[in-house]
Amino acid sequence: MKNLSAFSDEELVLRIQKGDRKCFEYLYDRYQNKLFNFIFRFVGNKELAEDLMHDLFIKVIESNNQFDTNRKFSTWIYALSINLCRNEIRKHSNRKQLIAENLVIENFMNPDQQENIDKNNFKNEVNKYLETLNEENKSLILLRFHEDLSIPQISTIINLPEGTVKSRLFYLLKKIAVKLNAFHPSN
Amino acid sequence: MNNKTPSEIIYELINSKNFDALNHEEKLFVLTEMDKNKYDHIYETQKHLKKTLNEKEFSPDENLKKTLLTEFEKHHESKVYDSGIFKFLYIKIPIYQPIAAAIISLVFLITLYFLNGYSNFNNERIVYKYLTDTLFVQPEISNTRDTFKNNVSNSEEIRTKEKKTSPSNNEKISTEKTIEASLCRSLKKDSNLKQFMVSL
Repeated sequence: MKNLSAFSDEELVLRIQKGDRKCFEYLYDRYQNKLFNFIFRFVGNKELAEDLMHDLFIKVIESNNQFDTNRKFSTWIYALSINLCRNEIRKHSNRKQLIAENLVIENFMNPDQQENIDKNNFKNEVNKYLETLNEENKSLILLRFHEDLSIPQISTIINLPEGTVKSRLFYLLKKIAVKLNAFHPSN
Repeated sequence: MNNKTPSEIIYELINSKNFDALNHEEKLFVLTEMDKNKYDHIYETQKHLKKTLNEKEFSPDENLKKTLLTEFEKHHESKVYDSGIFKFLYIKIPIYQPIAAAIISLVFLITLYFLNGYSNFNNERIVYKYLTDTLFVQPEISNTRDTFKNNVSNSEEIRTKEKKTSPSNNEKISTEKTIEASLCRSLKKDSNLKQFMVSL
């Protein structure tokens, strides 16, 4: 049998659908940090992010007919995550309060060096700025700069033409550059 | 490049290189939209944004993995029941369906029962029998035995005809029979017979 690391995501999903526990474990390990941090940045709360991770992987377990193996798994799972996050954000009206709590915790985590303070300030401002964005723009920023996905992949996940994705990213970058100018670590 | 909007083109450039790394044509194009400092500032912001957002600060709770693996096992255990004979036994259907099926079957059977009884009643045949006396004379019988036999054997046919015909046709049948029985002799025509009758 092939080493599990040699399997593509889609091959792993096929085996998962047949009940291969090891493949499920391996796929979870492969995506857990990426997805967890993506969801966490989207919803801004650790517990909520864990709940959503749970729901997300339950969907993978029950994906018998939902996942088309001709599609890319990463595209499918990110689209699913975005939908879950959007639904959850709409449910939670006190979301911003939760995010503020997390940001305070982060500030106390690395207070020692000036460099770290600058970094943390920038990071906090990025997080704050992300919260001001609408769901679509936030997805664009996170998929491109957090998940490092390609433009065609983002275009498929968000269901927008590639040209539109590029233009939007450019305008978002322009705005972020102006907003975060004072917190820029290089300043 | 011609079909792309300026923002698309600049995004592609910012995504790949800083201002100094651009070729002459690209620099000219960028300068039509913004100055060198602004371009480099966006380029740097993008780099920092990537770096900041790519830091993996958190990992999900280990218990989450355990929970999911348990869920995975449960799901695939239950899938065993989705195959073969179990699939048939575990079909879930709304309760109204078996009730409706039972009612329809009952109505069908009752209808069938009554229809069967009615058709039996209709199949009962009413047979009308008309008995007629025929006088056969002995001397002639020897001559007409075969004919008489034929008449007797044909009497079944006649009876069947009688059954089929209505009582109003009875006269006609009698006439036919008279004609068929014309082999008998009348007293007027046969003097021997007349003598015989007188002697009696």
